[in-house]
Amino acid sequence: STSASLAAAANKNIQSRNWYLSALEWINFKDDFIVSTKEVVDEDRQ
Amino acid sequence: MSLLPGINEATEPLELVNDSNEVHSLAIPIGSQWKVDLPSDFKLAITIKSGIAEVLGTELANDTEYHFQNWKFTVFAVEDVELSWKCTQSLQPKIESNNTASQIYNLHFALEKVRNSSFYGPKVLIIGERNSGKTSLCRILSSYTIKFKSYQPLLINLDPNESIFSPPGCLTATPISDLLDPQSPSWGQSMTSGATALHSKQPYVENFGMEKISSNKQRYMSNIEQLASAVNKRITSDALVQRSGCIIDSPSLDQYDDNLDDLEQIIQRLNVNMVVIICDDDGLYQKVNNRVKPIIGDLMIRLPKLSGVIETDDVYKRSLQRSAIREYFYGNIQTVLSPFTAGVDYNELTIWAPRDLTYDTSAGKDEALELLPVTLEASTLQHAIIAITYADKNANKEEVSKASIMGFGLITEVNEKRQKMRILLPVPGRFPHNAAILTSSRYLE
Ligand SMILES: Nc1ncnc2c1ncn2[C@@H]1O[C@H](COP(=O)(O)OP(=O)(O)OP(=O)(O)O)[C@@H](O)[C@H]1O
Ligand SMILES: [Mg+2]
Repeated sequence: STSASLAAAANKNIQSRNWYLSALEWINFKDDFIVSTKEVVDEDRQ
Repeated sequence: MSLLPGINEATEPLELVNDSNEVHSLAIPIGSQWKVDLPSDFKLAITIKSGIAEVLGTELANDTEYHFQNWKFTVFAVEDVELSWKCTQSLQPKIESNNTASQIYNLHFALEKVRNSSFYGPKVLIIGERNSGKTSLCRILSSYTIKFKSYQPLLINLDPNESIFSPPGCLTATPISDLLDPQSPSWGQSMTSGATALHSKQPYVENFGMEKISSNKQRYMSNIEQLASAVNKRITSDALVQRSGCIIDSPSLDQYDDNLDDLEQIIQRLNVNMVVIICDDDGLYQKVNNRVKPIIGDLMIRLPKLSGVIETDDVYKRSLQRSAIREYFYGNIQTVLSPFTAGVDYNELTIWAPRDLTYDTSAGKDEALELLPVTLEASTLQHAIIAITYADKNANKEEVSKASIMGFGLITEVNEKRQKMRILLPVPGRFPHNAAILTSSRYLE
């Protein structure tokens, strides 16, 4: 679905500095997708 | 917003707060607070040794050093607290009891009850007098909401003078899905800072672009309408946000029209179902109550000026706005960011400006929302912050004014001879092929 692909696209961008989301992207975004650097580092350690 | 000198202050390492600074210890008894009225050039480090201490609702971890500068905040002891601190200059901590903390807890538990018993969380609007603690209350309530349960309340900022996950001049809506940064006056990092140590937040941003909402009430209300439309759609498509509800910060009551029509519009657009008013003036309270009660019924709650409030002035508020701009491009002492400078030809740029009706008195009511084309010249653009929209560079002004905001640029140099500009951007690459809107913020590097 569009909302899933929008969310996936937004998610891919989180790892780097990025622009704010457009209204449509933001409406369909789920904050559960956000990964912090710390979590990424923790995962790498395991 | 006046010219804002100095850019390196916040990103310089805290060299002065090092091991050679004298370490002091301090005990804060349960229910009391240390109001840290930190002068702008002081740097302070605090480590909690034992007990639970909160900065605006966010608990500080024990044995971790927190750094603060250019911020006035309050350390509240939920339990007896022992801490150590060091500061670059001499500081005299004063401890006093906090007599509004229990009212904030009661309010929080009332909101919690709604969340626990319904799929539709509370939508609470915080209004009140100037400098009464509105923004602080929003921050405390947001922190408490996520403290014990994995809720995601939507923090909505309707005050363009506050910088919440954005530079000043914006209205924003941000799901609070994880800890707020207790060290940051602008609440923490947004996605324009990329992956950070603390989880970054994803705000939706509307650009008002001026300091006073009275400069163009029609534009302000149109910003709110667009924000409300995005918010209402997000709530419908996101069950967790819907259940967690909204916490809405707002400009002080003296900025609304005398008949409070704009307050009523805000309540209706955002489907507000609870209003908290922080107000010591009985007359003002009665006036607002008479207007608000018929709309939302008994769910209007009155609080006195919060006991943690530190008296501040415009100079301090400007310095917070300056830090927020600096933080947007350069990060803060915890997360240092590198912005990018793009060289842009005049013909690659389209810049519009909102009407400021304080000066532009000839504009009729229906022209208030119209954007005006900006002539590219150094006198208007040097050091200006521009909002970069999602509308194409060649889009018409109606499209541009409806478009969402992708971010901000800082015009660092205007070369009229070569018809070129240098623009600082948070994201690498060329200047986007998009239309921009001039804001009233200026920032001198
Ligand atoms: N625990 C606290 N509760 C209330 N205010 C606090 C607390 N800690 C610090 N403060 C300080 O008190 C000052 C005023 O608070 P705040 O900004 O929340 O008021 P406001 O009503 O939002 O003001 P404005 O009308 O300018 O928007 C701020 O400098 C804030 O940092
Ligand atoms: Mg405020």
